[in-house]
Amino acid sequence: MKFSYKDIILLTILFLVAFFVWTQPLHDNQGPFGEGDSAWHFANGDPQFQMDRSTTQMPHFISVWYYNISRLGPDALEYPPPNHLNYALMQIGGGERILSPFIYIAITCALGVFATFFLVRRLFGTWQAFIAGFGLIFSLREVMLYLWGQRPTMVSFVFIPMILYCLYMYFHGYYEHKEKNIYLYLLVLLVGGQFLLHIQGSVVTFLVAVGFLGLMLIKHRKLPVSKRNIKQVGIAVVVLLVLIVPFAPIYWGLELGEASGEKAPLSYLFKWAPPSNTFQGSYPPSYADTLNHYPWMLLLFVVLGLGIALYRRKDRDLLLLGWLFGIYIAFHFNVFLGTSGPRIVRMLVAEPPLFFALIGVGLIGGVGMLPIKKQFKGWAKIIVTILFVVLILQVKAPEVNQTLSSAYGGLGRLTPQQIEAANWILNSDIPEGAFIYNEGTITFPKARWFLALSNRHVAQWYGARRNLSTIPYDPGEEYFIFDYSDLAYLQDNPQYAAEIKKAQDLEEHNFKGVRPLYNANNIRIYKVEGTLEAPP
Amino acid sequence: MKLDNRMLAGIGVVVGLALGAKLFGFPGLRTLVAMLVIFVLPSYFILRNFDLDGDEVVFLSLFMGLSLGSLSVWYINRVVPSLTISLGVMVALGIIVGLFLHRHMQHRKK
Repeated sequence: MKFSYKDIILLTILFLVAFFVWTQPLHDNQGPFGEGDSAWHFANGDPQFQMDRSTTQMPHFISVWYYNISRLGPDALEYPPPNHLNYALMQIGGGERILSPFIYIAITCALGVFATFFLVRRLFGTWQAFIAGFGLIFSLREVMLYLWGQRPTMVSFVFIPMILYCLYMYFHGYYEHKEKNIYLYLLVLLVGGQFLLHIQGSVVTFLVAVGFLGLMLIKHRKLPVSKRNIKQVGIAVVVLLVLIVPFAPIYWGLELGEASGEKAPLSYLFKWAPPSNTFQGSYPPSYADTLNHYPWMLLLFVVLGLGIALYRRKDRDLLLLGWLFGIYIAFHFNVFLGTSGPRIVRMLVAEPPLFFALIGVGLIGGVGMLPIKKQFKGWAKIIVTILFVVLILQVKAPEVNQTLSSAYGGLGRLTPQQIEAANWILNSDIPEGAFIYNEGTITFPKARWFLALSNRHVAQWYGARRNLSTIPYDPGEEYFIFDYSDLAYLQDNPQYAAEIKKAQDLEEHNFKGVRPLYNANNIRIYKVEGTLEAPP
Repeated sequence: MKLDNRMLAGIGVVVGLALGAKLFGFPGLRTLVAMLVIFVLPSYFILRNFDLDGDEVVFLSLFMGLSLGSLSVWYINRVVPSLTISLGVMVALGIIVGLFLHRHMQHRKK
């Protein structure tokens, strides 16, 4: 089905709404935001822009963060190049060091909206697609991952609907004896691209593909590979290997302790999402709670869509069922493989595109089954779509808008004064291998954003000098940031007043009479020349 | 997209860019244009030569660009010493290869 004027108008509406909603954290404050992970990812891209050179190794200041986590060496890449390089490309193309990559991040994290719209539009119809896309704009799971900073994971997952489209087009065509090889090659190129962005999306894609092809095999009683297409499939596999093999060691090298070997009880198979006790401390329990994301009415629509897919069982319906199978297996990796809870919880972003696709299929499919005249069904579909939009605006949008518009407000992200200090470090003579302590910046993520923007290793002061024998740094190159700029706003609060006193005592004890290298806006930076210890 | 829908699609793009400019001024506009040029344009020029519908070409180009486009820049940058120039080479190569393919396909049709 080729795009009509209706599709273009609806797609434009989706883009305008999604772009406005997802960029809300940047509307009033264009400083960087996110948890530690977000700073880590930014810190991998930014130096490539600063040096005007893409990297084959991680900059030392960032590799110290998770030092020696890779078997390939302490400074080995922990991600294939595309994800972080894209930040640098946006800095070059967009001309802004922070705003351009953050607009890029907002758009790419929201791409699931458009990928799902595309898939559902091509296989089911415009109104189903609009319903799926509009619902996804206000999906809190995606929004939270975007805000916290697991952005490469998000970007990898938004590829799934596009990959499924190519998978469907090729194998549906194959079973109809009119396969187009271009879809096979697009399939492996997208799978390879997804793998290079984040392996986790590829794992889910693989499981969904197994589910879909398994169902196709059962329905058509014929293997999806035969003499007719074996040569093309073989070439496609070679193309895929050429793409991914050079970078596969990066994932192989990481020692993340993801699979402990301790398998979860079989009773977990009767739960949809992992129980909250399996990811305590990593994600809030509400993140995995299905009812928190889908009010009962939406879940009812999901069931309706599922019922219609099961009843019809056309190839496109089997794709949805295979998708469901794939994510079910992925969500229960703790039972099958002993995968850690936080890793599985992160994969829950694979669920909303399917659920909203099922909602679209269910609602419009339901209208199709109504005993009314055909000419009224067109209007009924429009009315149902409008009612769904109103429902989403009532039950999902307020929370998402509130979350996005208030995300990392006030002192929750680096202030212009702190960005100025970080930029000073970036352009200073402080060596790239220096170890810089930070005392006073109020949150861990903010201290890490200091690291990202200064392109130096900045770590919070935990009351004692780090054991630098395990972390290589330039000998004698330790520095200290005393940042009172946040605390100055909070001095009326007794807890923060005590923090100020503590920082002042530390500064007095170690740097009395020493001239700071930088002294502006309540931020002072010293070189550590002598002892560095907590005051008695 | 059929030819008669191209103008409407163009208007859609302009409206999107206008929102970027309204929210973030010139940097917002420039960033959106850069995304189109870096991630969509090179793959679009190549993919439009295959037996695909217009909307397939546009959507698939974006996803190709986000992953394989930047991978190409990375490979080019192993030879060309500047990342900025490598980016320019990737965009130019995508367009040139696309135009070459277009000419080749038309020649074959004749």
